[in-house]
Amino acid sequence: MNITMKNIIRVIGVIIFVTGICIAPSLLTALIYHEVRSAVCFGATMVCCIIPGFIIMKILPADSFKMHARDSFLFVTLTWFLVSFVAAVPLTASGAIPKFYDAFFETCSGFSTTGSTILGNIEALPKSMLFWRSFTHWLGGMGIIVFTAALMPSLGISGQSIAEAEAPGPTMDKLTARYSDTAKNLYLLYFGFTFAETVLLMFGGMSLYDALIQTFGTVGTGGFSNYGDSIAHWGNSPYIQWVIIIFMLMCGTNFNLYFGIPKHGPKALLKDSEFRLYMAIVIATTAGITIELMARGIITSPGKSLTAAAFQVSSIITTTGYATKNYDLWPTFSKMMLMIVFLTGACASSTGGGPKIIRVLVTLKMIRRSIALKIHPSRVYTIKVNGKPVERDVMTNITNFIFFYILVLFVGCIIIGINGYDVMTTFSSVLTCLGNIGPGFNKVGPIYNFGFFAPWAKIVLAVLMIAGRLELFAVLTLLSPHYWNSNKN
Amino acid sequence: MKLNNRLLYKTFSVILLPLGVTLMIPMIFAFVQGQVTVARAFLIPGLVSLAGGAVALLFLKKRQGITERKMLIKDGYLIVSAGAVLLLLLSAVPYWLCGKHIGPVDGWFMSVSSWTTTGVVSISLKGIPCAVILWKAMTCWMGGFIMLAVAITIFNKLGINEQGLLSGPSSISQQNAKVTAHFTGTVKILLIFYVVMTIAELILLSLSDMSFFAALLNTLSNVSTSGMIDVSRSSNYFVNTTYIRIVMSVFALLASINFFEYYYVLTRHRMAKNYEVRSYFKILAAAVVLITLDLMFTGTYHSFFPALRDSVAVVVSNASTSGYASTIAVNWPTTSLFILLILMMIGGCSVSAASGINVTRAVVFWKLIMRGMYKRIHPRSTKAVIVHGHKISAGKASSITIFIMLFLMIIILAAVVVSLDDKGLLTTFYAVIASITNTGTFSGTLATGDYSIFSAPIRFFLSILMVVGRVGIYPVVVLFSTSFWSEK
Repeated sequence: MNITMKNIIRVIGVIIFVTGICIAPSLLTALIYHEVRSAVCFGATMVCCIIPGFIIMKILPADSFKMHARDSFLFVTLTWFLVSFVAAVPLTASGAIPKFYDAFFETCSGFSTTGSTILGNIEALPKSMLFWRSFTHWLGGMGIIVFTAALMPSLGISGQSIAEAEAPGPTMDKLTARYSDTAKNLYLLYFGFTFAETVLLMFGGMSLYDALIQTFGTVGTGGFSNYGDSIAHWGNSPYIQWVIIIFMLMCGTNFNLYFGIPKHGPKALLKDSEFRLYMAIVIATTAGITIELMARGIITSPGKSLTAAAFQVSSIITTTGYATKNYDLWPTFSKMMLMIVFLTGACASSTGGGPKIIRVLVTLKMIRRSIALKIHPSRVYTIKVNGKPVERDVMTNITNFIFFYILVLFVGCIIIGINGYDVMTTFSSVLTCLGNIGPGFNKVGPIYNFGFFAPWAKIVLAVLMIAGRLELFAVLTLLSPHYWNSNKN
Repeated sequence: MKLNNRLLYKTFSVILLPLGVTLMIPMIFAFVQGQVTVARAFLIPGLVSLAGGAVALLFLKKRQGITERKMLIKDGYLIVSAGAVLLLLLSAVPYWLCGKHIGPVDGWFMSVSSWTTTGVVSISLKGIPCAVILWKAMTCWMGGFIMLAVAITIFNKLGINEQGLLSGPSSISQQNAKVTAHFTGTVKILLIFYVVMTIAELILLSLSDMSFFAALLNTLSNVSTSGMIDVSRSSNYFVNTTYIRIVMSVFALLASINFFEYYYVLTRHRMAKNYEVRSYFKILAAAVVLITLDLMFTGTYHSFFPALRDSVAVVVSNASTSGYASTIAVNWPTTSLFILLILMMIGGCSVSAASGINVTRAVVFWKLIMRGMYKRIHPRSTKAVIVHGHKISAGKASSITIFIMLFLMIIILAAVVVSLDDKGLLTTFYAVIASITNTGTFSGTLATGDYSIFSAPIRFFLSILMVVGRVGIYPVVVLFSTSFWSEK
């Protein structure tokens, strides 16, 4: 066992330990609601996580080490699958979700903040289990490793490589010199959002339990709800819907931008090209849907039409996946508008998934440049984002990512297609899992669930969710023979 | 705006004179059959083209020796596009005037769909005069060759070289085939081959139970990868005949591989190791295997040979962007449909009658992803994209990258426009992809290539999309870009 392996195992031990601790709130919920079986399952899982984790931490002493990009892929992938695996144990053990592959799908969907569910009758589950399911969104939203690093600075994880492997988006700005400080700041902000939204939702008349669950789904941009009809459960309350819209959009924004607000004021947001494109897409698609819904007489009141459109657009662009209306019944143009936001995803360094707006932005600029070069071949163009030229390597990485995304999308469709459902169901289920969104179209539309897929298809979709959450390369390079070639260079 | 006049006259005479001559063929045909109205419908645009071409030629002769202002790339774009629009309009005139009440958009749609080798219609072909259908087949045939010829001759002559209209892959194939000089000569040889291929198919199809006229129509539209012309439209009788299907598949395949391969064979008398053709065959073979397995596995077919036979026909039909066999695949399982969709988007080889992204670009797409993966594992390594022993320069790789991005972006934007017709997400996407790749038909309601379900404005939009796909996207997109019209 070489030094890297030893360290990877040690850190994974720590993460298992932390996961065990994270079960505590769910255990508490179980005790509050007197759900004995759930409480026992949670308690047992906690013990089974904390003790081995603690032993590993003690046996293998901490030493600071720098992880190579290559090793961080294995480390991050292992961590995410292991944590999803562990988290699925209480769900199956308590009998809430009898089949383990279903529970694994559910926790992968939870940690990757996808929000696709296999549950047909959500309300039948014990409250503590629903709480745990939603809590995985909250943990996964900012990243499990970031969370661990924030809790335990002495962990010894240093280096950008892990951050790059786990953080969504092409670049991770170095806000502070130490990674654990960045993690701590991010989590403080995350806590702030969570607290604010919970309080605001409770003002709207939700119980603390309901408010917490909807908040976890929102700030993690996940989309699990404790009601089968999702946010439509509060369909008569525009207040609740708009609170959720605003928090979804806030959590789909690059979190690093918020750290500029104390210095530069709210202009810090508006000056950012990615944020501007993000808002432009949200406004344009919302307007398009609002107008079509009214023009075709599906929702006649302008206010209601706007709320429905804004909710659905924000829910999908931030890859949350909550629903207030069955958008699958909307006319084609509205669905196409949603399809566009299905394909863009949220901003980089947010809790959202998908290909990310910044990548779309750079690609659009590259296309514009190439068209201009066709007319003026000798002119020199540089592509700038926020006034700074984009390096060639970054552009290559971005186009590469998008190509890879398209490839994985199609290969996923070909594989899931074997399960024998129609083209739209197949395509949208793969797209929604890869982009960590949640619902899709047709059979996986907002009022249906993923329960009907074959067990193998559920596993494939679960892998796609984690792969999508970790920006493809971390998981999929492990499939490359180059990765396992010991000839390192 | 001042244009380079010499180029203008030359382009117009080159376009209009041959058009006028070809319009006379169906005119004579109609006249012999005694259909005077139909003959007149061809005579009018024919005479207009001939007269216009003659005037252009006259002006060209006059300007001999006069020094022209320097030709800009912009002029090239404008003149070629104006010429193309004129060509499409004049070709639509016979449909409008043939006395069968074909609407303005329908006539235009037929003209564009034929020239772009899409081959679909928005009206029923039942009762349309034979001469008009012959004209449709003829424009398909000419459209199959013209982009190939334009790409390697006119665009080059206009000085719109690699940097201009002919981006990326074709130049790679040129390197491989070592035919960079004598473009006009090359085109002649390629044209001879195209004609030989046409005659061969005509003979083979005449031997079947098709009438000679049907054989002629289907030959013309098949070697140009336009699809099939089945006048009855109600049955898929032709494509269900094994012999006809084999002949059509073989020729669609021949028309969609790189024509420089033929040039090589004809001039060097041996097979070249053309990487593009080989990659194309690999893709096709993989698709056939996967689809056959899928058809057997899902129980769509119960025995092996029919499944193999149908999958070969449909794979060739989609990959060559012809679309003659889509009626077979209407009820095929999802995995097969996805594979067909991918094949359609990839399309045929670069210098061929087929459209789509093309095989070279698709190969580079794949290699770029693999390189990206390698670079993530070995961040400090430098690795070039190598296609068949040739390094793809960074500039070329990025040009290909952008082309594919643009292709996908246009599909999405076009889908937004077409979705205004409220025909459902899938039909919308199918129509857009089938139009931009010039395949025309695909599963679902579009299997027979009948676009009458779309409203007139959307049909017009789809026809523009066909042109965009046919000319390799850039020429049309450039015309609509702001930097083209800004005076800087």
